Amino acid sequence: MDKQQHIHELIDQYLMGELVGQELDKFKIRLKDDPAFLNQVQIQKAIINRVEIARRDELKAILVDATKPKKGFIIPFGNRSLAVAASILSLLAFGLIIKTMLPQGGEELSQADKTEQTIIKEPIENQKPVSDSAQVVATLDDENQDSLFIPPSLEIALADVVEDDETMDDASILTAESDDVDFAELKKNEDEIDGDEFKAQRDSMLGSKNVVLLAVAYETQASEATTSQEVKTAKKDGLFNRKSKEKSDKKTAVAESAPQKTLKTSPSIGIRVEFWESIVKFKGYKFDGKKLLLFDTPVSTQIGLKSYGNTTFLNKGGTWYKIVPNNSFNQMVRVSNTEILKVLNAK
Amino acid sequence: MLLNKRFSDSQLVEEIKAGNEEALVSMQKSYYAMVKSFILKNNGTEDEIDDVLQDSIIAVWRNVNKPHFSLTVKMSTYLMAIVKNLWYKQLKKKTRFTVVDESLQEKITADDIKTDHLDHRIIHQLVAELDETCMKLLGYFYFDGFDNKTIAQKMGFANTDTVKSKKYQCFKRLQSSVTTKFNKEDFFN
Repeated sequence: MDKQQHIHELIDQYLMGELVGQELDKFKIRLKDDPAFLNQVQIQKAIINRVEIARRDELKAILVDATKPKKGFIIPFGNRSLAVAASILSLLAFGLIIKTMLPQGGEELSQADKTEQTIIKEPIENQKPVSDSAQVVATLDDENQDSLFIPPSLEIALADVVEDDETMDDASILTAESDDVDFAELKKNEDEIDGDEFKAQRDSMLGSKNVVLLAVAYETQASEATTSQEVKTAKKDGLFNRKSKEKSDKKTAVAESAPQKTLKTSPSIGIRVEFWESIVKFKGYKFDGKKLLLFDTPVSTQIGLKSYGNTTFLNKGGTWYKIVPNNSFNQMVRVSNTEILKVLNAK
Repeated sequence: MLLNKRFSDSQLVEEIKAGNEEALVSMQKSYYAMVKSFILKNNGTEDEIDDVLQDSIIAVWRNVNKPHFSLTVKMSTYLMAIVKNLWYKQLKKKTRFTVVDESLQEKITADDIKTDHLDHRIIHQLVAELDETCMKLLGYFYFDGFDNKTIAQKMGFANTDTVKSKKYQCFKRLQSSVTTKFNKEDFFN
């Protein structure tokens, strides 16, 4: 891997919040001191943003496409059962048409048959009157239908029905395969799942406590007084602004290079720590700089907070985690850097 | 063409981790009715259902690919939690009469790196002009959060080193076209 590629990956790690410890400190110093490097980081961030947007749009387009009906002639039936129902309706309608075409009642039919000397050989009393469409269908399905008198018009109509029925069947298959949104099934699902049930489910807070954030920094004996003074001033103002942090960083850097450096821990601000139970069993945290929401952590858990450099660390039950201030839900990232652990565990 | 497959919850997680986009479509079909019911009962309209559902599914897609993700509840419950969050945010925006584009939940967290002075339209254009392989590779890495092994499998690369190297080449090409197309005065607002 060449140097440029290494820098590229380092910037990636920084932008994704994966840089910690000395590497992070060095990176930040270079950001301040090297405008060309800052430009490179800015451009890399902007490019990543655009790449993310492009990919998101691509995925969204897949979902949008899936909701659109496919091109071509599609009979609007979402599933086979609807198509079958439509077929039955067609047959009923067909039956009504037949009814109007046939002579009224079985008696008249048989009378007409007699006079025309038809091929019907069964006794007249065995003939069922064609009174409704269901019976027409039943009669046509009968094995003895060859022996029935079927007027030519009826034969044509029957052929039409068979043809329509086949068309409908194909159409329903076509529809089932090509229509991505199955409205009938969605409707069915809708009956089964009530969106209201989700209204009752909410994340719930189990308890809260205030924890003092301890600022840890290397200092020389000489600069100790000055730094303490700064801490007091910052406290007086009620906040640590970025400038004071940056000054503190610079001092830390100087202190690190000094021959007699001591690790100093001083209280800075109070952080409200809330313990939450998530309905989705989320096991991370949310931190906005002043309030820390811990999910899936019992209220009784020993909690400690320290800041080193510009990074905040959480001690949960004896294990240190890096805490990133933003408005997102984050997973706990355990601190593994031995040097940082040494600093954090120092009394 | 994406088929209309239905997946179980564990299958969905596996398919998403493997980068199978069919899983997204399956989720959209499976949970449409549920989300519709929720949106309509919470001051939403038909027009808003698809957008909220699609954004939520994409959020699930990204979350599942995060290193420590494990699904400990039903996928429907998990998705609904995200839908609720998105919807309540949207309702807040509605009531405040402000339009904020939160269409992208950025993965990158370095808030101290400001890019407002850069002309994002130009970068967007250059990203759009990337060849398909680079576009897919960078998208898989930065948006989907796939590890190099998954990317290698999906894109047919020999190993993870090839992925790293190819990704760097793609990025470098894009970066150089960004910096060479404009001199600093033109590029920086």
